[in-house]
Amino acid sequence: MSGIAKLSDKFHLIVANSRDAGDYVEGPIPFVTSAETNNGVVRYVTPLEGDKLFHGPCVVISGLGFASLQTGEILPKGNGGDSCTVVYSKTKMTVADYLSFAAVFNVLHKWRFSYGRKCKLSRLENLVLPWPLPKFNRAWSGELGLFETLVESFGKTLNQRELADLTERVIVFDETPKRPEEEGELFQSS
Amino acid sequence: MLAVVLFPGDLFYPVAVETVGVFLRVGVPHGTAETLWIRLDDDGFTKCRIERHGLNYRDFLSSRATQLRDWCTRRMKGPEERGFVEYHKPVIDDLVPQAYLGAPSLDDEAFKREVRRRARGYMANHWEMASEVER
Repeated sequence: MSGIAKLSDKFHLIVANSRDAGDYVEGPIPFVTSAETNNGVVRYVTPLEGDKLFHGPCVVISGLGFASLQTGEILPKGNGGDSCTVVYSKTKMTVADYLSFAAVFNVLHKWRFSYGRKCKLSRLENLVLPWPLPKFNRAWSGELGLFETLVESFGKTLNQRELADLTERVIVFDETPKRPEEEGELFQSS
Repeated sequence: MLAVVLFPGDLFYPVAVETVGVFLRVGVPHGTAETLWIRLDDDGFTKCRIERHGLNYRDFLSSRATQLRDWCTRRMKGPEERGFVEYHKPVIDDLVPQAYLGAPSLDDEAFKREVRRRARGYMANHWEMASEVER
């Protein structure tokens, strides 16, 4: 039966923690900000100590209320007044479901946020969404077929991570020297 | 505070500014009364080059204007439309319609459009990421 659900009842909402984009040197990790082009990614950076690295699939909601689907390892903007909020489902959700979630959020709630009224945890928790989330159909357009093909091409890696414990998916970056094999794991992209 | 109206983002186009209209009765404390919260996401104007054109905006906005006038002058309630026109008591410091209006029902066409946009954005980013790795 279809109904509505509070965001905080169905999802883990985690506030990002990082420095300003200009503080980083080039690196392998996508830095996600409030930009709406290129899925919010403005640079590829090397994280600094204390930064929170997130492992997708997840949805990142920017300080201006723009939701984008992210997979692999990401560093969302987490300083100043427009920190990103990272959303993980509390139950099993596929990459396609996360895409639907991002679309539903943008249609229903993006208008609530702007430079004057930033998107933050306390303003997100009580927002409601239709539940279960609507599904999209790949027959709607060519790009949705391509999207599903792309997701299927590395889907095994992504879907295996879906039920991973939340503590495995949010890593506080620590600059202390690591053994090479550990470092490889940290920067491994899915 | 009688009513707060959230105007479209393009109201003062080409200046981008979020605008709200606040309707107050001077000298009367608010107490526990309800406030009318309105979201106008479309005011009947369209953008063309660097100008906005509104051929019949008076007709377009008349129902909302009548409802606002009836509430402010006679405290007469009109029909509520979830996500666009609602009456609520202000209970928090966030005195803007964004905090009080519920989620409107999900428009199928808008959902389809946004799903396609998000899929395109995600794929474009992957293309960019693949290029970065190659470099």
